[in-house]
Amino acid sequence: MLKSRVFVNCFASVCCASEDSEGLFEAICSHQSGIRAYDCYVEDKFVALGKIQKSFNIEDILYSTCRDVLKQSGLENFEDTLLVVGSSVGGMQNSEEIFLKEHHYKNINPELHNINAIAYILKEKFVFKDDISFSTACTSSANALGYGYEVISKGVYKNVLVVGFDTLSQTTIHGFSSLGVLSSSTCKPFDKQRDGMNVAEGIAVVLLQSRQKEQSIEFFGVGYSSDAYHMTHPSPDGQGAKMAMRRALQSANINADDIDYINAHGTGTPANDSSESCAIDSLFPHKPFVSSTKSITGHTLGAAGALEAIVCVLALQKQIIPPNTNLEAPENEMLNYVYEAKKKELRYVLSNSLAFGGNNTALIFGLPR
Amino acid sequence: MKINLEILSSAYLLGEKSIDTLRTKELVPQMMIRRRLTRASKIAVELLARVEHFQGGRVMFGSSFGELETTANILHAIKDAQPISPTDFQNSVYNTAVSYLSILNNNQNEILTLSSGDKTSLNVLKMGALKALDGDVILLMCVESLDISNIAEVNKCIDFLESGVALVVRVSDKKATMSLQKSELLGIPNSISQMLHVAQKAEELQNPIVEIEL
Repeated sequence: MLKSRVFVNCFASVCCASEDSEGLFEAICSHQSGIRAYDCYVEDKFVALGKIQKSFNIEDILYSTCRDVLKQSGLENFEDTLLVVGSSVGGMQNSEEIFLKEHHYKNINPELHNINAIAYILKEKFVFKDDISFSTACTSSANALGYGYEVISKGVYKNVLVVGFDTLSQTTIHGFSSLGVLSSSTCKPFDKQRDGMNVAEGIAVVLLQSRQKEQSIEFFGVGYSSDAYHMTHPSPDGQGAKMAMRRALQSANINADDIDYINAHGTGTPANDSSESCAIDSLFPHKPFVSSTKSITGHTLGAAGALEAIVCVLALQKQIIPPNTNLEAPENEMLNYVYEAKKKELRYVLSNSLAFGGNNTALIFGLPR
Repeated sequence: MKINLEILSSAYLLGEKSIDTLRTKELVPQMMIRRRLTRASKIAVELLARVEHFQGGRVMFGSSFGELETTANILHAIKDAQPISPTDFQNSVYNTAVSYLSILNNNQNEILTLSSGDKTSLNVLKMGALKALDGDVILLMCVESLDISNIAEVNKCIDFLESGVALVVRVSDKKATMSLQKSELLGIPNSISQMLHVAQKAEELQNPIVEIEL
């Protein structure tokens, strides 16, 4: 059925670690985290969060990041492009600001409240051929990328703009705090001493195209699965994540031992990291390099899939494996962790995204065949 | 690209306030899970029980407004400086309803959730058509659950505060027997309109097939 190859040709991002993607990759390689501790969000408690350093409004950051990608692309406009958004909270920050000030819903604009708020704002700035928005918690933009891959590979579109975006909100900070999974310091994915995650905000915009360019990285496949286990706890043996990765390998038509590097979901929570490391260990006996980059970016929730896809694309373009940060004593010693940025021949890399509800998505990128 | 979808089975539910025909206790005997289900999850469970020809497989779900009740509970707790219920938070994500379906039915397949405002059910149909090109039978579902206190402060046009539609579909090479349009029923959320039209029309036809343009 597949007709077209899919390429990542342009991208842009903003997160707590950097205002651009090159800066983000440098920050990851030099262990410069954007996470800071705050005492103003949760009463009597420091929580470490990933806030974008420069103050911004949602309209401006959406416009400027997509405009950057449009400039890079050489396209005149997005009129033949499908917009695919991935977000966990959509316009929640806007709604909660109004509600917490006024204590009623009267001035909340439903168009700017729900997930579709992001596409709604972008369509006021650009013309797209069509748009669709995914919301599957922390896999939202990974699923948006997966959909973009499918519409191009099945010959429906030639250009797809994927936007992963989530802002910090009281709802998510207090919500994760209620689950007892927020760390008060920079997270330590895969470490024995890890004590939780860092909620963060970020935007990652990726242009997928059927046309190969000089710097293109190929998007080879996507795998999806559901844990069918628990709303917030992954299955301890990582069966769901393993199934998504296996399906991604099938989709890409490659073997497990072709994967050179895995950008793990690696949130720093005890449950996620132990389940995910079991899944990686059991599917990849050849021990590809593994790192989580969330100690630098925090967990940008619905934006994480697209942000980490950009990290994978840069790793392939530069042939550098991004390292873990804060990993001193790994809990699962069977994995091949990266401690410092490493020059290495990379052919295929895999990016994992795992979410509430047991929603799992794995993406595979590589050098064009 | 145009893709024809055969409607193998369909069901829909509408409630002016809340839908009062849900058989949740019978359909979800596990009390611990049943107590955690949101209204959207209960509607999804009921819809799944009402459709035929779907024995597990991929599910494409849509909701414009997501889990309003748990979201409102969280906002009120923050306003009142009260602790947030962990269950409310885990149940506040847009994929809550289908995640419970996957847990209850041990469905480990691809299950996606989209939210495209008024175009939600149209986009679920488009996504379903794209996925169905792979040759399998797919469950499409849209649910809205808007019955929360003071919803009238923002809701001026939706009469049916709870609603849901399910379609079991597969690709067909036969000619379309119905057109794709909005439901003529007034007071329903726009976000379920096209799928509701397909479900209503499917009841009248012997071989319901709809053409979806991607």
